[in-house]
Amino acid sequence: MKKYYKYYLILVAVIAPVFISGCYTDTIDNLSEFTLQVPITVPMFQRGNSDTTFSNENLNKYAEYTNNKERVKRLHLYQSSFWLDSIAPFNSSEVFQKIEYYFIIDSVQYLIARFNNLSVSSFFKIPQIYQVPDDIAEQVSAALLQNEVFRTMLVTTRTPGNNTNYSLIQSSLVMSLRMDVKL
Amino acid sequence: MIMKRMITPAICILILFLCELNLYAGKNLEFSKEFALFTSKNASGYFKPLLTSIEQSLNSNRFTCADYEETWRIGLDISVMGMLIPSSQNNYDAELPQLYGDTSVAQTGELRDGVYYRNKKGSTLQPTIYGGASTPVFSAPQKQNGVSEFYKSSGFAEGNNITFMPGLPVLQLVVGIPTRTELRFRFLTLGVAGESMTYYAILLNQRLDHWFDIQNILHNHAIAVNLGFHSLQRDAGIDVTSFSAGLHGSGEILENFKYYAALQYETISGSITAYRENYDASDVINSPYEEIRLHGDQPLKISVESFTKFRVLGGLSYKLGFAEFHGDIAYASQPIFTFGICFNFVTF
Repeated sequence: MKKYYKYYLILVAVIAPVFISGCYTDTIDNLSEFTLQVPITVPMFQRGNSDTTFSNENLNKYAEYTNNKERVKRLHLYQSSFWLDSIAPFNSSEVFQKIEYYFIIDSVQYLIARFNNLSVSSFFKIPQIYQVPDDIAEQVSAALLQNEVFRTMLVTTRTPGNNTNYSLIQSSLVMSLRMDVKL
Repeated sequence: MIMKRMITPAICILILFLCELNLYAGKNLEFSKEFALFTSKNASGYFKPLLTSIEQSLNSNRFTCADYEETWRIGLDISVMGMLIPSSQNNYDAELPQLYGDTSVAQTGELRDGVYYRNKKGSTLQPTIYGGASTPVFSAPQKQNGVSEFYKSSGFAEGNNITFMPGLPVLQLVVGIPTRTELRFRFLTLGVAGESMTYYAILLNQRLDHWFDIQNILHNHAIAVNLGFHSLQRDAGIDVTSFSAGLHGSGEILENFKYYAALQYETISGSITAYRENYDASDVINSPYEEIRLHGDQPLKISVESFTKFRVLGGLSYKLGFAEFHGDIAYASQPIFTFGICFNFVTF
């Protein structure tokens, strides 16, 4: 045993640091990627009686995105939320048959929120939340990584017989984006 | 002769420690911008399971068999470990912005597993670093000015879906003393954000049974007490200490093949203090959290705590020449598996 003694020592001295470095690497690799959820609020503003409101957006307007964009590996739309900030004329019992938000990128429309039969009182400064289906989320996510410029579109469908002339509809759309960030 | 026998292993040990040594000029610890969304309390909750893994790593491989002999002994122990992460450590109660729940300031909502919750106040369940997806809290400010305008929607960090976590490997110098005492020393410096972080530990194992006339009861078993102290310091930013104490015992199954078991108390305390990298007030001015919005230039202080207070372990040891192979399983808040080799280079 004694004649191998020195060789054992040398082997240990060489292998141990390599072995330890390897274990550290495994541990750190597990933790080197984080997913953050960043809510991005898109204000939607419309004057005049129209059922459609557009907003032109660029992700670079949002510090939450620009702070991390160089290390973002994946963007994933998770949930979206909206509420009315202002509507004129205001009638809390008015019911909208359908409210839809679309995400438009490279001329392709993706439905990212839909609510049926909502009264004004139920979404006037009260967030309504929509779980974006996985397939839509994946498509939006892939498109966003290619192009930071997009449009959002709000489409309101009134109940039959509602002929109110809305002079103002101001709403907020919040998109909760999951960002995979490599540290 | 003794000195001559000790020189070779001493040099080898020195080389090992120097391999891990890095020295840097000092500066504050900084979190990169993606951590700007954390408050101190949320960061403490989010990272607590990871800090538990670190604490458990530090307090592992403290000993093997308790039959310490009346000899001098110098050795080197190398051990690795892994921890199972229980689902109970996948979530924590994240603090919500102070005025969430006050409907005159903001109306809030969150959609969790298809259920809509409104105007929660105080805290909400969010994933720890080992958990899964987080749930955003959407907030509609009720006024366009005043305090209301700050109470916007909040996002939270997600977990990494970790169910098994490798622990920090341990490299330690083992010194046996003829008083049937074993001392273990660990020392490591690592470069952390441009400054060296120093870790050292002093661990004591003392055999007890020979002081009492109980060998006719114990037969070939031995009992020892163990105490440990760990310090993890970085000039600015990291100040962590950990203590452990316990009893362990061992017995022989076959020649050179032994079992050991232990009950151990352990704790960790301290803090990690870090500033937000390239702090710019405009980055945090919209945060609904007062701590971030009003005091974003102040450091984030993570309280270092562990879920683990006690562990019970059982293990096996096999001696082959001057090498002792050992492995054990411990029940703790994160059940832990360890394996190591101790090379007893010098015994006299």
